[in-house]
Amino acid sequence: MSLSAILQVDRLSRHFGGLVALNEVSLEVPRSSIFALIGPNGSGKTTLFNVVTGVLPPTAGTIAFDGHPIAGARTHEIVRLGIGRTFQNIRLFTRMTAFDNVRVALRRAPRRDDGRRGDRERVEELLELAGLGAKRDELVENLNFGEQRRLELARALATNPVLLLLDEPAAGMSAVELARLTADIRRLRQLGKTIFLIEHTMDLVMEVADRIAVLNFGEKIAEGTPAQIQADRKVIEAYLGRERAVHA
Amino acid sequence: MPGILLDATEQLLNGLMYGSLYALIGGGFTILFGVMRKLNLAYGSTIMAGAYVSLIPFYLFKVPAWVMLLSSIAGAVAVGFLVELVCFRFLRKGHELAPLLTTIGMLIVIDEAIVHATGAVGLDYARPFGEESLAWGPFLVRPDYLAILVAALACFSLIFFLIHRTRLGRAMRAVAERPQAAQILGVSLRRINVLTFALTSALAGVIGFFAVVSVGAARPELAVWLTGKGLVVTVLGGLGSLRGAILGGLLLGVLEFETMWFLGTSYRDILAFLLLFAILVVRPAGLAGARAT
Amino acid sequence: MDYYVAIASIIGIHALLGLSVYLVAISGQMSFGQQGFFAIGAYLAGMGTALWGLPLLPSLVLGALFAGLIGIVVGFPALRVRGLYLAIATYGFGEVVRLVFLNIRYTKTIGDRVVGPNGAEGFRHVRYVFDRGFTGLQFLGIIAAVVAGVAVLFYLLDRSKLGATLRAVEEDEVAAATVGIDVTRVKVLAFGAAGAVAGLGGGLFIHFSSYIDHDMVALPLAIASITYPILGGLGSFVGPILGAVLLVSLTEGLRVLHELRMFVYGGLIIVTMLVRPRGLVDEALVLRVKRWVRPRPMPRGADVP
Repeated sequence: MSLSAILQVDRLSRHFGGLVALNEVSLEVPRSSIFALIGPNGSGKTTLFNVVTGVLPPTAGTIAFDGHPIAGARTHEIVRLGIGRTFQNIRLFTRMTAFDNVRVALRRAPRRDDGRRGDRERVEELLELAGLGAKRDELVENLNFGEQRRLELARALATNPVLLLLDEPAAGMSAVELARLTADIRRLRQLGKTIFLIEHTMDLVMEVADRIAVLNFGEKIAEGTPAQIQADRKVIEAYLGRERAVHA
Repeated sequence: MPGILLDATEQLLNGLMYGSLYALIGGGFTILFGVMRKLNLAYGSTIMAGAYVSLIPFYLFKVPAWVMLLSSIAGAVAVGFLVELVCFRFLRKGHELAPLLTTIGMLIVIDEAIVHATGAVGLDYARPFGEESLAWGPFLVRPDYLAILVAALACFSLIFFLIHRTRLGRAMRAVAERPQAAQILGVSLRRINVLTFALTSALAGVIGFFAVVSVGAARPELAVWLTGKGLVVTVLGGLGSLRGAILGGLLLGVLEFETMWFLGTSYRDILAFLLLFAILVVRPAGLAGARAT
Repeated sequence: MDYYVAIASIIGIHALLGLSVYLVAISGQMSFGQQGFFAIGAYLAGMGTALWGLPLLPSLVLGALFAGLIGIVVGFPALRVRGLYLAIATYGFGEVVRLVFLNIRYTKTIGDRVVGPNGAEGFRHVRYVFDRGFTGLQFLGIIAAVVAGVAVLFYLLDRSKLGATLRAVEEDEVAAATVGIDVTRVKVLAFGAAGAVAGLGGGLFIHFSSYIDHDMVALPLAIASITYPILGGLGSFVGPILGAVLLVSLTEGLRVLHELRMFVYGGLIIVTMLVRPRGLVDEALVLRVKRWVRPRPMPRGADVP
């Protein structure tokens, strides 16, 4: 239990009736790091995010965020403590504009120098950073895929998170969009935020991650630096299957 | 037996018999919901439409009761077909409640059509089972209630046979459980939906006949009244569970009759809705704990 | 002239009812029971002026507040059900209210009349407005003022973050919670506020017509109340008001259509669902109007692709 961990997950389990989605998973996400969670499809990664953010209650285990226990707490309370999240299949509010999507997420805009709260300015600032300044009054359904992804990130940032949970942010992205995402992630880390991401796009993971944890069938089978993970036999097996591992 | 126990038991019997009518309504709602995942709120007016149609041969030709029953079924199937066409075939995805609201629209439209065709007064109906209550031990049994029970038993036996022993029934169950898989296996969803509609509409015809017989007159308000009962029963039993609907119907019938006897008629309908509200809030999955969607 | 004043009064009252349904609808809860709050507001306000000697305004406020309180009470269990089940549950609530008023008896003999809720007879002789010599036109003025005030509040709501928050909850509760919105609080408050609005409408109604009975707050009123926002549109508070204007003038104004008004409501619901599910004034239209009213300045720089 190190103090430099912003998120501590301890023997977290989640069962759905007979199905064990998470089986005593433990990990620690260091502050201001970029931590990646990888694993084959169905290994429980999104379930872990769901439990951490309170969308699902855990069956067993504890979660501590910045020292506070949050297992089983309600989602909006957890978010207000400082965890932001994006979803695997973008979950924006499609009937609203880009501006409103970010606006509803605004928790407390930082007080301006003259003391007034600048909600509108803050939203516009976040939209500009996401390259969506010109689209502020567009309905979400009129934005293209890349723009929607960036909007979802901007919305998550509006909640002033210290820890960002990104669920497959790179899925479906072009090379250009991917480059921008990589830059964004690094920039956020420089601002002191911690990024916890689920990803399948190995290029991104190996490039930005400080640490990687690997889930398979709901269990953590490996954790370490990118180099360690790439060399780990169990990881190779999990992704490629037994026979292939022998030849690898 | 002491007087009060006698009364309570007689009301229990009445409740079970009349409750089987409620069970039939609930059954109609549930079967349709099970297969099509939608609630058909126009069902009450389909039921009444059948009953009104059966009045035509009655007034014109003074036909025997079984002919009325058949014409009720025919009428209900015809109206049911119309409802299916308007509410379920042509609907786009827009609002989550669009199908529900459309069926409410149909309920109103059909109801109004009936009102305008017949004037708002009730029309006297046949009383084919006689007026005299039969004696069964210390209890008095209304013959029309007994007829309802018999009809319900017959219908449910047929339905269970259909659902569990025929190919059509298997297909219906497949669609109810996993529509996509059923489609892949070659089941035509359209065909099953239409057939299910036909089945529940035929059932509606039966219900209409017996409901109006028991009331003594065909009145347009009955459509909404029946819908209300049907909803309570369906929710009580757990949306999607036929056994639950049967149980729910019987339970509602018994509770209503006991309440009516001991507390007076005005509380009867409040009870039904309080029960509905309470169940939805406390145990939305209903008695049988089925699809807790 | 009196005729038009009466129609306009009914439009105003029904506009409030429609706004009430709209308010819960945009938080994702389609309530078929707002007529119950309407009834509560009517009976309470009526008791205020006719039985307890209160002036009009406090009675209206009393009716609205009590209805709002019941709205909050109903709002909590309503959280447990959604969509279809909620529709059924709220209809059940509306029916319970109606049936309670069918059975309630609380009368006083005032002068030579028996005044007060009287079971199936309803609540008659609410004569506050008539006894004080208000003309129909003057009371219409009161109705208009109330509706205008409520409309202003709704306008502010639609523009505010709270309005967007409601719509976020409607669209995706999980996503809403994930951006820090307390979904429970929002939904319950919506129910409470909507109850108050409907109660206000009810209070105005009973003083307009001098009586109410249980038959007037049954299924037909439930249908009408949901048709206003469904037809009028869920994109803005203008929607339910427009719905009320259109439907009431159509059905009250044209004799023929009055007879067939249930057909009209039913048919319009069907057509709307088939053709334009979010109603006339839907979100897309609202956006287009906003753009037309206030064109955005050109962007400062091209966005990075």
